[in-house]
Amino acid sequence: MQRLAVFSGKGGTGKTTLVAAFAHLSERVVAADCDVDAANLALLLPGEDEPPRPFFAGLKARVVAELCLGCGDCIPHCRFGALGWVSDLEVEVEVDPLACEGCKVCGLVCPGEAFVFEDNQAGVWTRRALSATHDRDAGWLVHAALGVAQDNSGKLVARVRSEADALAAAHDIDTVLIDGPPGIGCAVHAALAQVSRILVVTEPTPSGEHDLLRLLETAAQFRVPGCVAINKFDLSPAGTAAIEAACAARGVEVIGRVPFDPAVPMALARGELPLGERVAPETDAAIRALWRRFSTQPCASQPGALITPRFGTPAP
Amino acid sequence: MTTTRDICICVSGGEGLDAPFDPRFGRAAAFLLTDIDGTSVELVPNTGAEAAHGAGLQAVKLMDAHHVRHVVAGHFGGKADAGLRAIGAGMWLAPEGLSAAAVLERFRDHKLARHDG
Amino acid sequence: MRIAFASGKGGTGKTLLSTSLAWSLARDPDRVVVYADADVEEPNGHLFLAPKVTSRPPITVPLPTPVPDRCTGAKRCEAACAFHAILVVGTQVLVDQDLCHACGACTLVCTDKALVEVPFAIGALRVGATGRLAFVGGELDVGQARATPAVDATVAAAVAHADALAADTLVVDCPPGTSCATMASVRGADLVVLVTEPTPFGLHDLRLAIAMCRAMGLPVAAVINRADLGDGAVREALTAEGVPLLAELAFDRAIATAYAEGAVAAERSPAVRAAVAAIAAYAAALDRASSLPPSVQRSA
Repeated sequence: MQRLAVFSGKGGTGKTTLVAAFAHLSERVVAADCDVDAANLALLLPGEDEPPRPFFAGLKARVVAELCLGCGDCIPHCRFGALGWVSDLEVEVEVDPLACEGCKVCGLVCPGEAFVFEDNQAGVWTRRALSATHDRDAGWLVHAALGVAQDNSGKLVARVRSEADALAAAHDIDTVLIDGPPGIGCAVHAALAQVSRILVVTEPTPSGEHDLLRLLETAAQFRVPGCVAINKFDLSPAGTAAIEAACAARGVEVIGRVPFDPAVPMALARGELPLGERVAPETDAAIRALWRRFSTQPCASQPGALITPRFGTPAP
Repeated sequence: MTTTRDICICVSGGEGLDAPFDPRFGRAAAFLLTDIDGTSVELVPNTGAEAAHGAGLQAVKLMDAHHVRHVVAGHFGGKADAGLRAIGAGMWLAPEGLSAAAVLERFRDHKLARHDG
Repeated sequence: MRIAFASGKGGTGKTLLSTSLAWSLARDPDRVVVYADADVEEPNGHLFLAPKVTSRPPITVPLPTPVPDRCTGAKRCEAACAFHAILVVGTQVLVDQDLCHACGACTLVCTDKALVEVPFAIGALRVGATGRLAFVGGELDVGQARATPAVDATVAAAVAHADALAADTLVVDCPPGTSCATMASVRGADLVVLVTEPTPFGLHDLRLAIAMCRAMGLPVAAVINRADLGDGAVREALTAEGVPLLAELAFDRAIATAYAEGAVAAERSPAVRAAVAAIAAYAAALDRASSLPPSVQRSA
């Protein structure tokens, strides 16, 4: 089984749009939407969802009012500012669930054992059987939604990925296609672990280039090989040239360039994929060529060569 | 009878010594624990393999619980290195593409390089 | 007055508008403005504002660190750690920095005084100025997992900087999404401007962002970028939600080109200047409407 992941570092470069197109172009695939903070792949891949399942991660503290002695000893111990008085008049502590990280320090210091810790529902996830596009089933999509103000995106990403792997094994599907989250933190690390290779979709802007390089460096730390595609490359020939030079200097291959095409957002607004007659012929051809290349050929890059020393020594 | 399955070979699944060697310590699918002759083997799933973080430390915990003395992988991360040192396990490096049996044979023949961190 | 630029979806134009607003306001010699980049995973504001950086203080978190020869192997710390970040082998304590939330539980329960908290760098600030515009940006180091403490540190540093300068406006460029890191960046804002685009993605993520702001009790308004490339569903959703639409920006190759060249968009585009003027006017009206004096840290 190969696990192919698409990232962007910076948001809005067209990553999800391309993943949806790739899922459509592949004969059968399990797509895993790992952008659990703003999951959009389901908007472009029709099918039938199973009922959503709750995802629990971490704990939330709650005060048992009858046991709270009102001493307030716990309040300064909470490093996340989650504890406070119920009101100016009542000598009773309450927990702000939006700020609580479930560390249980309050329980350690409470003389009245007034805290209980409950499993925290951090989000939901579900499986979708994709609508048939050819004469056979098209595969699956696993997607999830992280609850507002949650801090467990990495764990939810790991869950989405293990469900996707399980579906691929059960249905004899040989490709898992991962739509990665933005950024370079925890969620990205969870989406990068154990993938065969990644494609980074960037755009010819200073932000696009900057974020691309930070992402390639992150991938290198996970020893995952990567290649690059430049979306909307014709909006800035100079920016495209700069990105190609930066990639060449790092031994990373640019395997595709997709032109700017106003027909793409117009197709998306109709909930349609930017393929075929809906977009310019060059756009359609570029996306197809990019998928053919990414899905069939290993990356030429040597990820180890990218590794820079990790900033990890304690400050003086 | 007590067995001395004190050698751990990281594998990507499968059964027994035919299992393919997996170079990633923290993220290997499973750990094949074996004695020096390969006559007594046990497959221990790596429950932390898919964790976003902490895979290395959790794997060290498993090694400690199973009294492993030697670990063979293709690469040891900083946390795994520190953890395995702490439990006094030796770290050995094998190339990709071998079976667990071939890795064990090389270990027995002193053909594996020691990881020095 | 603290104005935060957020969006559920990434790449909608938060940085374009926040840098443009800060740059435009700072041209008024009577104003003192601070721009803060709290998108610590992907900080980009400095690429456009090109500040002269005067200091790069580290962003640190307290990391439990073993004191030699103190541990007696009781494993209290390991048992107390809700994040499974600690492993005790014999009398050796191993701490996984990526999993540690710096909650203090381990140092609290250790009766051997075998752990002390040592500042550990997870990133760095960029502090400086672009002409009269003060700049505070946070950057998470590559390989670091947890962005939220870096966002907290960046916002705190920006608020302190704004107070020291007696600034009247603090503009915060926030990370995308609705998770902890985004919440930390908008907390305490007097106005959250959600930048969106008229596609199904934009609409879906806008709804999440509105829900987040409402849950936090923050005033919210919206700007639609690339307003001509899509449909009317976002506009309808804003009306239905009662979120004021402050400006719409049509797709403009000139804006895209300016941005690609690393320019502040307001410098080149009258349409962007008009959009940020509308945001500023709305923020000022909001400020007047409240009885409290203007402050950058009213609800911090």
